[in-house]
Amino acid sequence: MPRRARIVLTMFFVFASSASPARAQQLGRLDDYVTRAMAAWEVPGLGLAIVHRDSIVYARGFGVRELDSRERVDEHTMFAIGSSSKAFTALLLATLIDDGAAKWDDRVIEHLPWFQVFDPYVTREMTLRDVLSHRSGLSRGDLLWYGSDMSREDVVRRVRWLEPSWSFRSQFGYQNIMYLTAGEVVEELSGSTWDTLVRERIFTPLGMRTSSTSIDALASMPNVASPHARIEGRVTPIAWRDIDNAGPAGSINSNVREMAAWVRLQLGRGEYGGQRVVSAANHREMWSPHTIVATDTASERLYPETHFRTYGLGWFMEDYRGRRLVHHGGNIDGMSALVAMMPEHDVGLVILTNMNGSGLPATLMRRIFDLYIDGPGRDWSAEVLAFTKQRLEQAEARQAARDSSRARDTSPSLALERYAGTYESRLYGTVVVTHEGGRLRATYGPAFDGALEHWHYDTFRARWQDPQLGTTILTFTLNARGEPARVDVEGMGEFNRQADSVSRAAGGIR
Amino acid sequence: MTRRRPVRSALPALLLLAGACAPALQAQRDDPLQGLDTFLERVRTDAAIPGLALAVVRNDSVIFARGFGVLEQGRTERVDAHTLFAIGSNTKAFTAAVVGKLVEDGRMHWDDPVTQHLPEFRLFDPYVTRELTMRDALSHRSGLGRRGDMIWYATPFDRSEVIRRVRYLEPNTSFRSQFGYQNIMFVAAGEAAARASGSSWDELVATHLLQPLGMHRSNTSVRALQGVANVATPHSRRDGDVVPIAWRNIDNAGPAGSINSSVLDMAQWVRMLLGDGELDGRRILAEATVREIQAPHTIAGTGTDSLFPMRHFSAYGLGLGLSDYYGRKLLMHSGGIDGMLSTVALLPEENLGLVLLTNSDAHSIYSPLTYDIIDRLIGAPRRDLTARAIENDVTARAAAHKAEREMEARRVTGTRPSLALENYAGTYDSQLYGAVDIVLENGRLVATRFDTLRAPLEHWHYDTFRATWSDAAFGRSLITFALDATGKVASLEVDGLGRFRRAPAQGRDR
Repeated sequence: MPRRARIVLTMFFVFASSASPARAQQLGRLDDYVTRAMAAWEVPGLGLAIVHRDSIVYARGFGVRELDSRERVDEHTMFAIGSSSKAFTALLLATLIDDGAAKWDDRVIEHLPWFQVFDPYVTREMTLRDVLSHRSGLSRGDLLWYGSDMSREDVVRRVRWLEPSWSFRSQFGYQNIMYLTAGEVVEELSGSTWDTLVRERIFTPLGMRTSSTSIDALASMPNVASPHARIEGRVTPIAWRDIDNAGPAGSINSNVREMAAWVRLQLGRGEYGGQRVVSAANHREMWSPHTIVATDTASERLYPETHFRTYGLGWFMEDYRGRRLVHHGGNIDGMSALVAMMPEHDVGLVILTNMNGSGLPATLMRRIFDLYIDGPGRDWSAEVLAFTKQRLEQAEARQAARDSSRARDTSPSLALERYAGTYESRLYGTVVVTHEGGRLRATYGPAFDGALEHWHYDTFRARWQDPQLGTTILTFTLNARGEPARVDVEGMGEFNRQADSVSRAAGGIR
Repeated sequence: MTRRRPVRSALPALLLLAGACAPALQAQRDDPLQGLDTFLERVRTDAAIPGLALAVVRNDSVIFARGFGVLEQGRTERVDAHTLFAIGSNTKAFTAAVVGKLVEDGRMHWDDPVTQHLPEFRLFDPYVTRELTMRDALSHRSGLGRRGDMIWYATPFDRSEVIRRVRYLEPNTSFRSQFGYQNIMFVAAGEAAARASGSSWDELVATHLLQPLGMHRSNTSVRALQGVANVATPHSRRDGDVVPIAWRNIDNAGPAGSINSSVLDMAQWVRMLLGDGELDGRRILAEATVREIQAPHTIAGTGTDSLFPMRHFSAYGLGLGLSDYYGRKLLMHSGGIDGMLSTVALLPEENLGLVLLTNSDAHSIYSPLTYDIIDRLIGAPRRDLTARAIENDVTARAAAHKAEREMEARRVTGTRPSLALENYAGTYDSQLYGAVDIVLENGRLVATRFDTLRAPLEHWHYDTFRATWSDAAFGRSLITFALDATGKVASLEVDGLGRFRRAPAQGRDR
């Protein structure tokens, strides 16, 4: 047997020496990298702050607040941080747990007795940890709140009708409504609103004076970025989305200067400027992995530096080149944000942009953290952009395949006016289909309003007036009497036609 | 020295991920195998391990494989690379692989509910019965925790009876809420595979793994060791000394831990796993199966540990423990059954794996020694975690001895049993664990289990007696009788096993 053989040794890693003149130079060169990356990714404006050893070592803006305007983004420009708000909600609960008002393993129903999800066992077992860690087994249900006029409590009360997509805690499934639930628990425990508590317990001690929890606060402010999205191939300014009814899941607005204070609090394990905001023990809970986030082979090939992707309480955590990264992005109409930290190097960053669903912030995160490990590494912006474009092309190909599967030369079973009526889902409420000027039109809540074009058979495509909402496929099903019984709305499920709506809608139209 | 251990701690120590320490890093440019022989021999002596064997696989070659010490204390036959040991829970990954083969053949799916293949399978909670999948059974997230082992350990129950009784085990934690090591779920997975294929688990392991891998000396039962040469004798600590003990038959928990093998045979298994399912150009497992087994399924602890700063995540795959180690994915599992402790470790990115087998359970160096060997092989700083573990073992033995003395000190003197001794005699039954018979023999109470285990009872205090079991692995336990309102003995409680109710009549099903 081979007792002794020469083998090639691999040196794993050496911690980079900390602050160095070389790094200062590299941070200087970062400006160029960011500018070029923004152009490549077509991001109009961006704010970036870097915190190292409890100091802001970099804070500046790039690009413009609104395309074709001259107003520059600076480190005070306000953006929506989207789901980066989730860590604020988790932290509020942590402070209430510090107060002794609750425990992480408390069941939600102990604090919100009316809370109910689809399965009784899950209703009974769901804990505060579960609502903060995306393992409820419920997929998104976001159209309950997105563009709707329901209150936070209405949304949470309706989640009982959202059928599980996966078995309870069997896998990661991003769930905004569970964060709304956490927000309701916060309000129940504290007796104040989530918004007030965010201000009192986080914004105020951190000196985040201009940050807010609602777009209402932005109206009177001078330095606010406009959201942008790609519409028919062109990056275009779009309207701000009011998501107050999803506040605890994502409604915070801030700038990189103020968010840097939030990063300092995090890297300080709950302490900021000598003041303790949350106990170190409960801060550690938020950074403890709770749920495994599955990866696919393509992304494993792109990111061989990463072996574990997990979710804590309000934070994603992964290993990267032998270090732990703690981060959370935020995406809401026209804005992409990222808060990220590499605690072993005592470094963190905030990236806020005014472009919809952009992968740019995550590429800059890796670029910047590489500087703190051992200098510039991979050209993350270029590599990830190529990967993203490939994925986009695949998605477009799938969409094209779907479009080409449209059956030609079919016509609806019934005269158009007979599809008109009120259709109900116990989860989502009402979709109203009307017949006007020889065309069908669908409306859902205040935001979704669009004409239905015939697709094939009894399937129609809604083209929403708000371009940000795109199109949705609706399929009507007839009952034995040859009347429309229900409509299946892509991404939402079935809505049943209301019995009295037939005569009412028909009468109204004729 | 701990003369005898209570029942609870006598449970076979199947598992574990790791525990130890590490600071800064520095390259090793020497031959990593240099001095390994001397190191292993010294460790073996220091830890009082009669026999030990190690195989190291690198780049698909066995670069080290040899034995140290003797098959049995007091005898002269040497351990070598062909010596058979019990691998204990390192069996679990074989069970996962067998399930993987059936998935490849389309006979089952990872996400099948276990009840789909074992319709009689029941757990305490109906929701969990319905939802528990093959994946859950193989990843320690049933919520039952590390309990129920005494259903199978040294009992006459067969696998199906072990599985039948687990329905009475109350959950320890909410379903899938946290990691809880569970042997019986592996037995259930193995039996489900047997049912789905029509072959026994033992046949499946032999046909799909041992034979194609050329693991010709390996088998799945202690019964197969009869008449085989070069088999290690198990050892344990009795009255302070490491002495030979009898092989334990654990056929009724086979899929959780009954494989016996040698380091050279196990090196084949390791080469196959490192080869993404291929060995010597032959495909043993599909790449997808290997990927599934090595993918994180359950978070196992927070991962953070001040003594292991290079590790950030700990998880469990399917029969394998997972963590990140110096920026690489480390797959590791330990195995332990009476008198035998082992470890298997793989670093796929380094194309490196090792198998460590020992014939003693009177040490806890299997995991630290594995890290020490890995550190040598990858050029990481040498930390000598093993030396620390040997010291800790000494301290732990002293602490156990002290705890025993303290327990003795808590004995209340001057009390006597409430009733005359003959009133305690009877059959006491637990749905989970079967019967305990209490008989009066020559004026003394004696507890018996299954006609194989006896323990004379000495009065301890009040209605509590101390049992000293005939099988030293069970050590001693306290048995407390409870009287009902009529003054008759209604039940007894064995520490660690819970309550046994007095059977109304003799001859009940055990």
